[in-house]
Amino acid sequence: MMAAADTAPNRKRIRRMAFALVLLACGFYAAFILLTYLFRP
Amino acid sequence: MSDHSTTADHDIHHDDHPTGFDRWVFTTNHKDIGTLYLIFSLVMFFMGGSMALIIRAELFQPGLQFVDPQFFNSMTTVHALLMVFGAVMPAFVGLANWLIPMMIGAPDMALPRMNNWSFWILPFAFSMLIITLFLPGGAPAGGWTLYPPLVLQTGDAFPFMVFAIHLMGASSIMGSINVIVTILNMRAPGMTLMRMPLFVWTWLITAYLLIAVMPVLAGAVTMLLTDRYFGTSFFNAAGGGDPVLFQHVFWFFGHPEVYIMILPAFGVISQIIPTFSRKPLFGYSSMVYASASIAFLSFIVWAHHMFTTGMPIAGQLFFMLATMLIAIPTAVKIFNWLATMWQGELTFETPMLFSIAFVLLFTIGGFSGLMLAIAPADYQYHDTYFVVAHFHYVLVPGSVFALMAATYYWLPKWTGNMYNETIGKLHFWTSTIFINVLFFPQHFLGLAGMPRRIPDYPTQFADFNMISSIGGFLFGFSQLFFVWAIMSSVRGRDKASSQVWDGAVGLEWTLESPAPYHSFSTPPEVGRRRPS
Repeated sequence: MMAAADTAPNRKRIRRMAFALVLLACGFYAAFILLTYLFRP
Repeated sequence: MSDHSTTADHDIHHDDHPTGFDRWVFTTNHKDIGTLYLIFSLVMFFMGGSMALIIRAELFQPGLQFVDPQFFNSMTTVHALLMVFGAVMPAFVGLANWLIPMMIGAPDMALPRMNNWSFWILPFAFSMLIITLFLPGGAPAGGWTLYPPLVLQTGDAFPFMVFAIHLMGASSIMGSINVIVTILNMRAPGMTLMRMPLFVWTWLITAYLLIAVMPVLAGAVTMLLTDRYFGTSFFNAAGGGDPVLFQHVFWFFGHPEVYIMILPAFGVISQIIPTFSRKPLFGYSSMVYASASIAFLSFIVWAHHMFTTGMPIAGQLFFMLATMLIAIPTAVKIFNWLATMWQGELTFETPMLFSIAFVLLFTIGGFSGLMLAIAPADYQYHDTYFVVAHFHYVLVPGSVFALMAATYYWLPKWTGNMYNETIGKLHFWTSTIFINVLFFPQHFLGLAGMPRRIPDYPTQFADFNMISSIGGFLFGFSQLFFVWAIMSSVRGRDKASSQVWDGAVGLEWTLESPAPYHSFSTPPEVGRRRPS
């Protein structure tokens, strides 16, 4: 099924931005586990 | 966007779409996915609501009446998880899906397949959470805050709960990525950021909040999981960890979460009040900056939930003052709404009634929040029914009333028919009266010292608990009017015009009602005037 936004001319930019945001979320996940480990008493 | 939308072939097959199972399961259409989110959240609202009624039935009089204490604790926990992650958040994502593309002049969301996935993992997440009620050891009962070491005593439900929370988080993050990417890439020509409707602005800010804090919750529950099954000691004092550290991590997520649930509500109210005041929104730019300030401040106030854990006095002072600062941008919003109404040609249709009640009752919740922010006073209020009254005033006549206002406001655009205004008004008045009967006495119970999350209480608390329970049941049953009003619009014969409300301004009102399956086949003209 063709999605309406599939043919948008800025498709590459959309994908890059989405990928960057996924990396950001993964980064927060890892960073907070690491911080909790480092700040243990 | 533009070359696609001017394709003649697309225009011819403008409303072509699959039907039945294929339509709803494989859909990549923002309106279908929005509808799925909204229906799902309504179902969760009623499931979470029935759990609230079990709680209120048990608390109707002192003593143990209907359920055992373990099950009571499961009810408080699962009620909260369903309402926060299953009802309020998905409802706002549903609104975002329906409205953002129409408001910014886009044909659809930027990442339609991910949109489908972010919805369809939710029913599995919540099924997993709900079936824990039938597992050995019962459903999670340590409270929605999941504090260790208590939560580590959960029975077989524990890994189910953790996995369910991971799925809910993944869904929210995907939804947020979609919102950000759509708003930043798919706006119609001329739709600059400062011309966007306030609902779009508040959702953009909310989406960034979600991406920042949902991974923190995921990290927190992952650490609980490894503490329980893999021998780590993140929060286990015996192994060199610290249970209070969990509270810091949890509330670093938990406080912004509160604003995740209220910022889109602010956006909804900022759309509705100008329409029924027949005036542009007062102080558009200040509304945008106030939303951004609230979002920023939400990251530096988390420890106000933990004043009684034995924090250094400097820490208490910092978190107390930072929390009080939030009153400033919030007051900017409240006064802007009042100024919008001032000397307007007001009419009081159901969406406007809910919006006015929102302004008044959310402010009560805000003020009790200020009381709780005062560190020395919080030692008395902490973990009492005062806190329960406070956050329910923020979430029910706050977030939930905004959702109801939004439903009445945009329902004719979604279905193409007007809803039954008499039923809508009946729903409003019963809800508004009974929500106060339900939650206002809980302030007094808390101030008198009744702790939260207990199934039984001394007889001195009996009267206010009885009043609260009566209010709870009447509020609960009032929601049947909501379903009636929605059905009156779905099945209605009273066709809605494109604009629906005579004071409504914005791109979504330029589309016919019901909105066509694909919103803007050609990019709309965006004039100099702000759409909101």
